[in-house]
Amino acid sequence: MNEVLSITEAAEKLEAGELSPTELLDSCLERIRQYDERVRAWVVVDEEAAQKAARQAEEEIARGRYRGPLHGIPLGIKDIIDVAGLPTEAGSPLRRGHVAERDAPLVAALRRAGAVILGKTVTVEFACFDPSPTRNPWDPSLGHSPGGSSSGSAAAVAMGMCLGAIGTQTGGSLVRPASYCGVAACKPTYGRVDTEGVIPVSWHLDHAGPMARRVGDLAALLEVLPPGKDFSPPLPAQIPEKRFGPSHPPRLALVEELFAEGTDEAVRDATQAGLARLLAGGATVEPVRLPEGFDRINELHSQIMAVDAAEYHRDQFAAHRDQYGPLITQLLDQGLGTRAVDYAAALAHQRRFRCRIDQWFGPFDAMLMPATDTTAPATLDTTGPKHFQAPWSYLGVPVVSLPCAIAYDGMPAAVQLVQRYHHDKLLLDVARWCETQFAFDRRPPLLLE
Amino acid sequence: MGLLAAAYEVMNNAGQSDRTGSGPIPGDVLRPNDSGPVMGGEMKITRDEVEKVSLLARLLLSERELEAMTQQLGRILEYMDLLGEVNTEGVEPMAHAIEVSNVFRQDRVEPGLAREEALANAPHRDEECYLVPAVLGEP
Repeated sequence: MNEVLSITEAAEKLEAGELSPTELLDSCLERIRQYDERVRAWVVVDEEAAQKAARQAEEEIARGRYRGPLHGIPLGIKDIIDVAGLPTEAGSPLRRGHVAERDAPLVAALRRAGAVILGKTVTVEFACFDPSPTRNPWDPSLGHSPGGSSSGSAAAVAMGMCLGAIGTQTGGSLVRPASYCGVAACKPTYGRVDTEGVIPVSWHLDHAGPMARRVGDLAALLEVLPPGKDFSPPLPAQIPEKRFGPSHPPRLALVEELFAEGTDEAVRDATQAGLARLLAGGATVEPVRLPEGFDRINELHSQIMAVDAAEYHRDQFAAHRDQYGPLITQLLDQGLGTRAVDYAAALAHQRRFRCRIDQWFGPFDAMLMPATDTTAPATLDTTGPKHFQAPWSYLGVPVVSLPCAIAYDGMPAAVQLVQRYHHDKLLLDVARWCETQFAFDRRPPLLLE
Repeated sequence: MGLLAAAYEVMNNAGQSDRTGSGPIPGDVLRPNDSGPVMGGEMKITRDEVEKVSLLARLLLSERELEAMTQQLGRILEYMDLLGEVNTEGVEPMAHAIEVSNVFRQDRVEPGLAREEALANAPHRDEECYLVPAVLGEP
């Protein structure tokens, strides 16, 4: 089976009995065997456990006990998330051989939904900045960055080595690698997905979320991911009546300053092509201005991230400084050197902004902007800058990113859509409408070999 | 030009102009593909080659367009093979199939059309100029 299926497509075939979970798993394992030596998306592939889970799913489906759209679907889990019996190494020599005793709640929930956990996908060191060995499969010479920190998850999904993956985002670690690798990602509302059993970077900024080839797949994954313990769902009155629907194309706001104006020509051209398709599909697109004080967010985001990371790594960093990569070393030093009063001021700014960002969304079904400032950089020395994604991690509002076109450098370009808190589902619906207009169905050239 | 204005322009031009314009142009949603499938033997050019050439030419082709272009370019290349069947032994290389030479006239000043004559049939005029509908925005 050479066709790379989306979760939704595979689920239909699995439920109808046209495809078995073991056949689906075998096609993923085959691609891993064929390509992973070059792409290096996986830390560990637990073939035996995956085959056992696939056989179990196969028996259940045969007995008419179909659990839903994730039943029998092979998934990858970022290597900072605990999967029972597998190491959680977080891309660090300090974690080598550190085996998780139990599943993170989000992994347990995926298993309950019938998903087949295939293994652990590569993360950059402690989900910060030092590039991982993973390569971007869109560049035939494999010299472009796959982005980070969920680099393995993005590359594995792009190559059809698994149908979906779970990653995390503190700055831009879901949206950026997904965009560089031509797949979709969802960073849900802060707290919407439980981060217990996930090695933290920053308690104030960490999110876990899904990556997949299609927006419908993201929705299927998010549906079963459990909320954090302290997550308070919105009161019903806070959710306005849904305006957008199949007979009403969405009303979108284009964020030009900092975003659309801050891209290079390749992303600009691709975004323009994508926008033209949305307009042709009947969407209304209006330019909006950013709220006052937004331009300080990136600097304050870095401060919070640095201090929180330094708090978590403090003792280990003091004892094993030489085993940390250069970029995370710089981050932790920055965190250790930040004055308490500056950190408090950053947290106060974040809290104030979170309280008043809701009104900025006005009557729009989503705010739209390019997901990255450039396509994947033609280097392996960086995972790319976070300034297009970090503001939304800082604010905690939900984001969905999806590829919109191939830019003229041959690499995929993506847009991101943002909505107010708790409107993850509306956002996914709007993103799915946009996906239909973009009609993006390209595969990395490596898959054509 | 702002991104939004540029996108409107791309959308508006998509239905009218040839797709060899500059920059990526949306594919099959805006520009339905009219060429049907072509039957035939082995293609002279592969889909991957067409994809590569389209990237080099900065053309954004959708999956359907890539498929159609592969078929069409294949047919063109097949036609070139027909030319290879002609026996050209003893024929000198040439730039033209027939004898041609340039035609010149004398470089002499001659009276042209008077302004009033040139404007005589104009539906609308503004003193010494033609008056035409506004092309860009309101007059």
